[in-house]
Amino acid sequence: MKIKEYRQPDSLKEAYKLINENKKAMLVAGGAYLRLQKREIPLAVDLSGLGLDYIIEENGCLKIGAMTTLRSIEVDDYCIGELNGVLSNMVRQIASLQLRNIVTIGGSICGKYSFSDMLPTLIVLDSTLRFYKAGEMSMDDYLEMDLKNDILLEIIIDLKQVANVKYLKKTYKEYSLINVALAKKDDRYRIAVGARPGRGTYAKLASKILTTEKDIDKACEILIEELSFNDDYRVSEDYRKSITQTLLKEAYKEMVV
Amino acid sequence: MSVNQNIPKVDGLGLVTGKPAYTDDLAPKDALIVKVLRSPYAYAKIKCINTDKALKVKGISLILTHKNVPDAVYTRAGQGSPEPSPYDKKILDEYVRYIGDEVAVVAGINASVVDEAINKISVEYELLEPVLDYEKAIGHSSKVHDPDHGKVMFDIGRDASKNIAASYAMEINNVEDEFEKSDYYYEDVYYTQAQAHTMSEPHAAYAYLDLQDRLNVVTSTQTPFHVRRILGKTLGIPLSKIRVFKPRIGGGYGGKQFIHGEFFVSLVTLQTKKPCKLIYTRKEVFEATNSRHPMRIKMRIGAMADGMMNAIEMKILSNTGAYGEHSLTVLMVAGSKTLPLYNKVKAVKFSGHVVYTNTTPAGAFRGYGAIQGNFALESAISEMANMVGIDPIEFRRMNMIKENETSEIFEVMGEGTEGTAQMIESCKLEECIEIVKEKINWEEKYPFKKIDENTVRSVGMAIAMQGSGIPYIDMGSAVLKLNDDGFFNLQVGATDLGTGSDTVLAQIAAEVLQVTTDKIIVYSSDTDQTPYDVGAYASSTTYVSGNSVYLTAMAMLDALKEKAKQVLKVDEISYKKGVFASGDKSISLVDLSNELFYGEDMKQLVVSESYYGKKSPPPYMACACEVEINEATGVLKVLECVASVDCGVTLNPNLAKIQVEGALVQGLGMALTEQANRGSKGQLYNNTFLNYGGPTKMDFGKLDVSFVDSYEPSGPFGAKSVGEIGIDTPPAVISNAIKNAIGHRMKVLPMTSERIWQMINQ
Amino acid sequence: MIAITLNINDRDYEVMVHGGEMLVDTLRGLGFTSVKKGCDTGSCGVCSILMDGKVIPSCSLFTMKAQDHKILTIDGIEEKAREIGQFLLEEGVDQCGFCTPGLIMSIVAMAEDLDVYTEESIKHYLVGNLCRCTGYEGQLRAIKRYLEVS
Repeated sequence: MKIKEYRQPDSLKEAYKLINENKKAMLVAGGAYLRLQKREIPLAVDLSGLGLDYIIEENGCLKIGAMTTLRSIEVDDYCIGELNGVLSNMVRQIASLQLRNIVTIGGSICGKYSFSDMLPTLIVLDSTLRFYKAGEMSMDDYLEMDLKNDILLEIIIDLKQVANVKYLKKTYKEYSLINVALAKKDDRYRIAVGARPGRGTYAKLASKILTTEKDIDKACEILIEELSFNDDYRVSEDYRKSITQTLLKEAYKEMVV
Repeated sequence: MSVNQNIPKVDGLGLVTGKPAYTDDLAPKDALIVKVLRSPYAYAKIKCINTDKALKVKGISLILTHKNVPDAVYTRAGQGSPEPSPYDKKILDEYVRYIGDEVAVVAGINASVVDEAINKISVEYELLEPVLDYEKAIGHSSKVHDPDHGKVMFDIGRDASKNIAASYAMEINNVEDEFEKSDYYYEDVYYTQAQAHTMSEPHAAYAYLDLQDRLNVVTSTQTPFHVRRILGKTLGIPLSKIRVFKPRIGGGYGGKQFIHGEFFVSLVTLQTKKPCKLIYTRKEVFEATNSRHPMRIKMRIGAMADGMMNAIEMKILSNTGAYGEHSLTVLMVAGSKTLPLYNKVKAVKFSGHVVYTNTTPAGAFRGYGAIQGNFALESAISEMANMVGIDPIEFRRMNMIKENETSEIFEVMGEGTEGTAQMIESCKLEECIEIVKEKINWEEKYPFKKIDENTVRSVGMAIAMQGSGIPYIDMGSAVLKLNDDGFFNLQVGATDLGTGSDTVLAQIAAEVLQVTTDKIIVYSSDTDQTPYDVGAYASSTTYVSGNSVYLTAMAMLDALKEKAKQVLKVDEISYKKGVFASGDKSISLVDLSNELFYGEDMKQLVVSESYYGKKSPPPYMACACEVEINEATGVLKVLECVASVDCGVTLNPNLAKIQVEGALVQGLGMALTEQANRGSKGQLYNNTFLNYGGPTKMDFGKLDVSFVDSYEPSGPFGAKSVGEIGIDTPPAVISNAIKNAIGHRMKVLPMTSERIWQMINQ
Repeated sequence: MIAITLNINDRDYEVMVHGGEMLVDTLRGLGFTSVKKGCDTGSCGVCSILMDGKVIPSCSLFTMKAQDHKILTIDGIEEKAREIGQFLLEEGVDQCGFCTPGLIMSIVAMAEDLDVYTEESIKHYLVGNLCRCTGYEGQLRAIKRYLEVS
């Protein structure tokens, strides 16, 4: 990646101004994925040092700043102890320790990567995203729209739930070939599947079936119809569909116990 | 005592603490940056290439295209002359034959301007129909190489009009007759993939002109002498005007046994008179260096009801990609370093074609055909054992080669040429099998155990052989120079890839001279300063280079004794641990050396001996794995991998162990996860560490490697090779374990979880 | 090009950098050739260095981000590197050596970071340090011995 000008603003206000003045400007979170792109950008705006690196508990919610690294999440007491430990468990198998010391939760979300394990996890946890200009919105809504020129500040997650993420990988370090996330809040289930190869997507119908009928087999059947699965050079559509069902049943079994 | 000791590598501490040692560390700071414009098409003719705009970029020194480089053909294979590989490569060609093939070479003052210039080169391609499926190459309407161009050094069965790079066939007695007579007959086809080396250090080379205006090339290579010869002959430069030096290199495994960037840096330096360097990106290493020959192997076996095999046939189609480096030799090794395991058959037949395709060229890679052949053979052997109804270990015991036996194949099949008959003077396969059988707990675990509804565990095993250098072809030599203060310089052409060969060779010399290893200072792999060695391949370093060091050290000892006799004025002399003695007279090595430098009758003692093998004593190995398979997902976990190796005497047990452990993991990767998938246009999908599938620490269980007591009379201090043997068995071991677990035979590598799942759900 | 100051091994360096320059290139340009380049994707670990005590892939960090932080390469911990290196040598796992400086930096960080050392936790911490030569088993033996002794 070639960058003409690299700025490290002192305030969010300045950062926001910079990316709106130059529509071709890009925000830099960790930068590890960004630098892989073969592009030339006129302006990079670094969000370090703007106080977006934190994990706190407030009013029964977990609030994670967008610039919090995956490693910080991995070792954080709340992320380990709450939500069935899903946040720590999910990040600890991503890439390598080295990369997790750089990659941020914000960068992982806004990249909307198809292989992301983060996306389906945050989807099923019904996370709320807070943006500088646009304010709060649900994860589901954010993924529907194409929000530009705004800055993700924080992710808010209700702690009164449990969740589980399962995935299939070729080797430990590589991206998931398929990932399945399941969350339970009170009596309500949410299911999301990613790397299909399509990115993490909420399975509304399947989640409803599981919630209302508690029938995992039926939910699985609906799930593979509801979401789109495809072949790619890694694995086939059929395999993805089969594994999705196996992983969901596993996740459900562990949650029920 | 140095031999059979865990002497730490002599260059160890410097390397691990990051001292500058590798090609890119040593390149001059002001070296021009050289980069390559590569073809985006699998097969095309360059109709027109325009570098005008690119040359105008400030800071660009030179751009090479097929129009301004020598037109000569050569082979990039790092092999001795005359090479058994076809001369089908030009430095830059009018035709590009795979996605990644070189189109233009740009040199400039920094990476930025070079990148800019590369983007400004305009190329007009005429697209041609690529040959992408190697099973359709023979008879394909598209010819990867013009049959009228290119040449061979001797007949290797090349027929470019059929896209055949090389062919070979041999038969001992008549297999069809024997199949007729057999009670049981087995036949099936196996497939292996284009495994990539993924060595830590990407390929790198730099060049400069020295004070004598000679071309100096410093390169990450396994074969410095071959590089010098190929450069000189192809560029028409006297070899006396070229020096090639190998610094420390970050891994090879065969991946640096060919010419990579050396021509480009040479031409740039020769024309600009400036130093320059070319460092490959990882993507270039995946796409545009070489990888393992994918093979389709047909196995046929006939056996009697008592379990004795009558005949084996192995028939191979091998894919050498766009250029034919190592094509014939890898094909032959697939048979010559596997079939002699079963020397009791009455007839054996081996044949194959190596075909060109428009994909990344294949080349040398640890195992060098033996791993592909072993996968097919050892899977087929277990299938036959199953058919006959005999335990697979027993079946192997009955049919396998033993000490003081031979196989006719040794005489018939060499590596590119005829072979050399040899009696097997050391073979501990029996002991190796016993050890792995016990350690893995075969009796209890074979064939499988159901753990729960979806989980099954099983064991599988296989045996393997390799070689120790190529007889009458691989030559190594050494020079020993005595210094004052009683220490020695040992100069060897032998190429340490990181294996520790410098250390092992020092140990050999130290053992003969009865000094500690730190008194032997090794300098290696410099065509100016060290004597010739073929380089690190064919598992030749310990055996061939080692023997040359042994002979040289013995010659030095003789010379020292002669001088000691003169100095002490005696007729007889004996030597023990640094002291020459005769009666009550004695002189230490240290004093003798100083006497020779500063005393009365001064002389600098320098000796040199060479060695080439008259045989290639195989190391042997048995390996067994316990695996656990999830039948719902097809995911296979290797719980434990046990290996027992006979490599003669282990000159350095630690280093030998690491060689085998490292090779085993490479073999497991080939067996389970390493993929080189291509799209419909011939593009390589698995071209980064994000998706290639190399095994990590977390991807397999325990490794247990041990060595049996063995002694090879023809090897230095009883040693055979150990560099390659470790890689050969895992694919067959895992395929056998899977068969034992789920009753299906996996015949295609890699045996991914999806493929296992498909097998289960069939 | 912009002039910045980097603190490397406890010393300040003034450098001119491009906006999109990665730390590994800046470090190697300053003569720290102990920091290696092995891949294009931040996946292999040979470029590992410590930034404020955390092990990071220097190939994936924009140099601009490294300002106001403490960078440590293996050159800055010579004695400790030799100490750990000695354990690696004794197992023979200093093979081609290319992955080793990055591995040693990661071991240094791990020794501070981990409370409990099991084989599993060691392997997990170091999974980003790829090695093609040794098969990892020997490295694990050496590291366990080092952790026991230190």
